[in-house]
Amino acid sequence: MAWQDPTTINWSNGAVELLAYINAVTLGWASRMVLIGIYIIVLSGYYKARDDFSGGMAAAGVSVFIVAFFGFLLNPSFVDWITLAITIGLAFIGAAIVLVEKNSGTA
Amino acid sequence: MAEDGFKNMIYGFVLLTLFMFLTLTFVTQVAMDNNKDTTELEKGAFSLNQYEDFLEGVDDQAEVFQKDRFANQNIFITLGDLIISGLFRIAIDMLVFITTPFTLIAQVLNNVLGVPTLVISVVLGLIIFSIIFGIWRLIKIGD
Repeated sequence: MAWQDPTTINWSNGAVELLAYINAVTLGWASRMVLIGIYIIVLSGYYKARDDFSGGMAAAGVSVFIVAFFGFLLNPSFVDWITLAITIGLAFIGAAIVLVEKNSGTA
Repeated sequence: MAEDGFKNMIYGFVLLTLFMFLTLTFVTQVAMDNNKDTTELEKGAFSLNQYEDFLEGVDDQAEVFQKDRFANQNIFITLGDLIISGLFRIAIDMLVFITTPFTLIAQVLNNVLGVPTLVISVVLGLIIFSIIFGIWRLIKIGD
């Protein structure tokens, strides 16, 4: 597979083209690893601070969704539809766990 | 287990459904406003059409529920119908309303994650059984 040469990047578009290039040469995994890192950092930070794992899942899911959505708006080749779909699913699952658990009186 | 746990759980599922619709609508609208390609959103995995069709079906059912069970009949006929045969229909309608969030989640699983329909059917069956037992517990114990 022929990789795009970095000298062909249109630098007048700034970070938008750079992010797309980085994502292209990593087969889309650069953005995914950033999102996974954000999820883990928010989840572990929330869990350590509040001792609430399900709340951390909800907070991490929504955080990752917001970052992924901004990435998608910036350049769809940086965060594609599949990645965005997974982050939306994460937000839904986190919200489901929190709403059902909290409302069941366990909190 | 706190009191009214089952009712609060159903309330939580309704809130979750609203959150899902809010999120999907937000994504669609903002992406369109920023001139992004929303083909996948409108016709692909995130198609809101089937959700809208499903909700329209629920809305139609609610209108039938309101007209047939209460509006077009006097209270004695309604009570008689309720006792003889209406209870079963009303119970089915209530079950449909309660299972709406689960059906939406199942459609998301099927469309976005590609979970097979058989798996979703089994999970939905288990959830419906749980709801039936939950309603039974609500009637018998009040919790």
